[in-house]
Amino acid sequence: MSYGFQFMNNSDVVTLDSEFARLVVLDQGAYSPNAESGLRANVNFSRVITSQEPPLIFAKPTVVSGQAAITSVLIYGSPGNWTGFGIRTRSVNHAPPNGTWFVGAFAAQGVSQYGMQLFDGSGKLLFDSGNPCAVFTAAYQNWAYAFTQTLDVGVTNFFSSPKPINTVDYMLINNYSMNVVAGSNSGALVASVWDFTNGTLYATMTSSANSQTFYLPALFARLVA
Amino acid sequence: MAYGMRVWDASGNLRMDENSFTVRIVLSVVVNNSGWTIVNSQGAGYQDFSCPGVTPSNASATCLPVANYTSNETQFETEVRTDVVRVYNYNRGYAGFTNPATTASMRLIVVRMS
Repeated sequence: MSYGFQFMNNSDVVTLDSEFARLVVLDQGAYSPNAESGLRANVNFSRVITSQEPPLIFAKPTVVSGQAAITSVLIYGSPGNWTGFGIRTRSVNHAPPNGTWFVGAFAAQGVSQYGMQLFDGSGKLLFDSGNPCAVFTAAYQNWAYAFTQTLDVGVTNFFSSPKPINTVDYMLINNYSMNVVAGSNSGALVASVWDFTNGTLYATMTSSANSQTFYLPALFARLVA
Repeated sequence: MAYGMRVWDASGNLRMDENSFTVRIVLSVVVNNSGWTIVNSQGAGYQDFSCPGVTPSNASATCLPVANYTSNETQFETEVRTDVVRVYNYNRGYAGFTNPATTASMRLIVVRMS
């Protein structure tokens, strides 16, 4: 970068610059069951998200006794007009969908009346102090096969995360949506299962023929420095 | 703080300080369900995307839906390699799969953590 703005943190890592878009937080709130007989939580954003592509949804289930699940994530709206999203739990044997969320995008929306804005060389708004950046905390895709269980939703392989659940971070859930390739043509249903009783985060796949390997990444972020 | 920058929101909450790490996106591209380098007779394949500076330990890659999807649609998978991100249309650890990913396109995002 030959001109512009760069901010390095105490670890000498570039935290903000005028080259790359950051994950910025556009809206946040809580979700609770309100559809599909209490199995789904649908949320409306407080203002429309105007990105062309679906915004990134990060969520964190409320701590319960037992297992909470995030699956069948849907994002409502259309390009330039994203209005909300929905999270489903797995079944009545899992906790109802309750938790908190924030929505981000790799582009800022100009909302500030004061503060600072950064633009890239082509004039695209990268940073607006009214859209705080999400703070990255962890990412991994080295899931380990744990066990297979026959649930009411079908035969399910569980893959355990290399790190225990922490109750501060939010997980990116956009990718816990579409099926993954499996031994049946329609693929396997994926879910993120938060086993609070045992402190273990699982990814699961459910189909008639499941893999014992799983590569869907888990990406975590938090809101406040 | 000795030096650096802090950003507060309109409510006075500290949102970014000199110890913060942000999610820095270094590649964002739409991957279409075509042009795969085919590796077997079932149609399994991959595509490579150049991403200088990434390694498995400093970056993460994921594919995100770019539109609404059906209940039988299957998604692409990713692997961060050195200077390259590889996108697969199958589960690279599972020889028993029957059909490569069916979705038309997804957005690959690569984020640097350090």
